[in-house]
Amino acid sequence: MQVKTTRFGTIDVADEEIVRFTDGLPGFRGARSMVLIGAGHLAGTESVDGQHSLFWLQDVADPDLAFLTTVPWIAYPDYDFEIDPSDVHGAAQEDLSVLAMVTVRREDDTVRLTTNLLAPIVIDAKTRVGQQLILQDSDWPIHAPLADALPSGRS
Amino acid sequence: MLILSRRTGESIVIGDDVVITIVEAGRDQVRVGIEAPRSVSVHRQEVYAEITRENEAARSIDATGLLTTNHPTATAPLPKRPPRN
Repeated sequence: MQVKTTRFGTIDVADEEIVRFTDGLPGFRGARSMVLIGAGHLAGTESVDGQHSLFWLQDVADPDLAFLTTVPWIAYPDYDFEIDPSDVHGAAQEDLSVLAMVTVRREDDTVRLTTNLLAPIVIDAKTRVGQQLILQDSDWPIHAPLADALPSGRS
Repeated sequence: MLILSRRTGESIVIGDDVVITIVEAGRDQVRVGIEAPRSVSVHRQEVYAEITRENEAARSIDATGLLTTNHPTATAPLPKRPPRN
């Protein structure tokens, strides 16, 4: 199928690439079908094994709705959390992909990137069902710095 | 809003399968036990509201100049979780 996006134009997506969020995301309950679009890595950093460390999570139905996410272990190698298998529909730990939302705040001439480690997005690679967890009684921050403040806007 | 008075140890049943029990009541804090099916998500309201706000901030970011791939054109496979130590 073809997915229209505001940021990337029209993208071809195979049905099996769609990730289903049965409850949507907090604040975006209608975001039920999303696709991952590789976004490379942060400018000025080295890629890890040539893999993407950033992904856009693009809504299939709303061209305008996309979230930038990162693989949390790249910036936070000791990131970890306990998941009760019943919280993820019985998925095995090793089948779970984990992403964390990235927020960009531009202030004057600097850019601050943070990532939300308190509410990771977990996706069962077998069923392609995803959800955003909110970790209970966890100290992982909502605004974990992702990079030192970068100069803004010049690419 | 329905307002009920409960003593410590007493409960409230919501629907068929959600039970809220007052575990401990202090001067300005109460401890509440919640039994609910896993399909019912339970969160502290202010934490849930903060995640919602952060998601709203995340959806409208301007990533210009920050990424090595500014105009990606293809879907990507799911990243694998690194092996745990």
